Amino acid sequence: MKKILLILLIICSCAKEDNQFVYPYINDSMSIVEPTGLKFEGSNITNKSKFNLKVLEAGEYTIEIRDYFNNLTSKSIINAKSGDNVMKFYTKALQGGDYTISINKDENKIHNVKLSIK
Amino acid sequence: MNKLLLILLLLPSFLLAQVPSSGDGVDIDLVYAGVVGDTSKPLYSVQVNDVIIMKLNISNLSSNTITYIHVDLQYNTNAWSREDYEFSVPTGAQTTFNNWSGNGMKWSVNPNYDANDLWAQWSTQGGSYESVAGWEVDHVEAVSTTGIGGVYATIKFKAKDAGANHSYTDNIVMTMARVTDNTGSSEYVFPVGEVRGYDNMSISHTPLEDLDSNIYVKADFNSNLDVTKIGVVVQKDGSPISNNLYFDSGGQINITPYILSSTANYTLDFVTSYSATEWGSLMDNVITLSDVTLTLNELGKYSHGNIGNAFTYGWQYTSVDSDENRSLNPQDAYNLLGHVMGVVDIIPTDGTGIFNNSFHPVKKADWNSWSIYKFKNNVTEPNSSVVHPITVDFTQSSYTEWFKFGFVGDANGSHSSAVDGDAASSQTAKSYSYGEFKKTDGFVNGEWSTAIEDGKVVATLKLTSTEVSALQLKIDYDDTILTFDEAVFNTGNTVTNFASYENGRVNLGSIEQNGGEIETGEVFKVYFTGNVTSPVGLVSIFNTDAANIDGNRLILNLQ
Repeated sequence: MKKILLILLIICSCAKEDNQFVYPYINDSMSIVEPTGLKFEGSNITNKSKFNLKVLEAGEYTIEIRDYFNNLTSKSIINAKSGDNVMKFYTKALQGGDYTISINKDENKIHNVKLSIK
Repeated sequence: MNKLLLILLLLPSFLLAQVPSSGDGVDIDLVYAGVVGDTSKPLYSVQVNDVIIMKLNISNLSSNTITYIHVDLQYNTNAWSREDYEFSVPTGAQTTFNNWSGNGMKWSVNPNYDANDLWAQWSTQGGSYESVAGWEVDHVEAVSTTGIGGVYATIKFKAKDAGANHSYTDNIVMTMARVTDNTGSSEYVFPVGEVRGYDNMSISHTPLEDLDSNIYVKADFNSNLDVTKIGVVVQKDGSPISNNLYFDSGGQINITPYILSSTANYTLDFVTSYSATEWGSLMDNVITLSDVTLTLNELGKYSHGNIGNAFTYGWQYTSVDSDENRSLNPQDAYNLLGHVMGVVDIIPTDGTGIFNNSFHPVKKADWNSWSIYKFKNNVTEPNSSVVHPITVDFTQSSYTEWFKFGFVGDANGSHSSAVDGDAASSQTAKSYSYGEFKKTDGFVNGEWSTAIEDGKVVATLKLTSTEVSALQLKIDYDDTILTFDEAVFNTGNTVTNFASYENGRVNLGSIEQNGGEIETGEVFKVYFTGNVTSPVGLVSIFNTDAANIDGNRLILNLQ
């Protein structure tokens, strides 16, 4: 038992922060009860804050960030697995302000939210 | 240093101590309350012919009741003409306001007591009223069976021009006062030291010229410029006399409060609330690849050439004449290209900062008349520096100094003011809407994305439109997470490509000068190294620019 704990400790201490793409355990604040959904860590997006994209179908999804004038500011492609996908949202390369964030699958918009990026 | 700070902090206390309060008696304050028609007008702005409002305000700090008060108010009749008075006393009180002196009486202060010890000045030996021409004294009296307090009298004086050699010091002043309490069985006279002129007992303002013009600075500005971040400092005879005054959203500043003399020399010093870094980012949006293509086109060095027919106005020549030799030549265009590529800086550096060296405010009439002909024929160029002398026409009730704004390198006028009329238009150039928002010849489409490929973060631009001859993209990335590796181009064999990076921003672009077009498909791929598994938000688009094979600007529409 002690050996198992030691191994787990070593694994955890060696893991780098930015490698924690998919969290093995979803804490309550990030969990989504419904089969699908999109949830952000807070009411505003701050640098390295987390969000959870829960999908039924694994595959390629795009995350678009558009400014107040609907100009495309950033667009990322992610490979999501079926279920919860907790990821970090980086904001240092973005101007602070209100943005529309949409999640698309095969050019179909499946989520669309307006949030402030700090 | 600490001692100095302590002295500075205590200085106001020292100054107040020189004119002490009665402490536990009666303080009588001579309060300036604006002018008739403008009670918010500060005393320092009072002009000749303004009627000032002065109030006598009583602070009773004692346990006695004030049932009688008599203040002597002295004023210089060359500087001020008493116009009116009004009492504010309890119902049933009796008041008296009379000119006691006639023309020619002035108080000589009793030096044995403080000048603000108003009962001492009245009741003790040492001072006297003397016959002095040009001074008068009013008695301001009230008696009541109930307490008198607060503002008990308001007196109005009209400001006069007493001549250049007149001293306005203490030209309205309280000289003495008597205050009593008659509510008891015998009269209580507030004693020496207990009736004070505090915290003000005189007016020494020199009235300004009687100038009634409202004076404004207005700007015609491009909607790509946030004019509220541009402003002026008003200077009088070379010294600043205002804070930074910023344009409102309509492009106007009211400088009336600062223009107070018809004989002084006034200048406007343009300023910005942008930091140098923020202004640099703005200039990154001002000078882009389409400015280069348009300039090359004007010089016949682009595509099939359009010598002398791409530019319309003199300011276009001036903005890209980077060697300032009053001749537009290919070197100017290549300097501009070098600037866009990040290898040359065409913004001069005279040590006064990037704003002063790249922003060109020009008076409206000059802006509208500066033609290519004038540029080429060595006509003296209008003032485009950030310092502008102004000459106000005080015969007008409202006077406006109009400005237009230009920028170094802004050949296509993406951020500059529009030119009005046709006085500055070239007769040979095509009709050209310089300075209008997003002046373009159309749109070009592309697809943009960032993804993780083989452990790297890769940003890709896929061009889907044809007949594009120039393309520029500036992208921001999180340089605390990512390291820029390289930019890979797939634009065609005869296309000049460039890429540079600095402070978390990659500047990349392509230009085809030979009449051809940039190939479609994945034209730009930018590679970053970073130990991440989420690409979300790591790379963003700062700005884009594009031009067609005629050298005219296109809007790059990214999806």
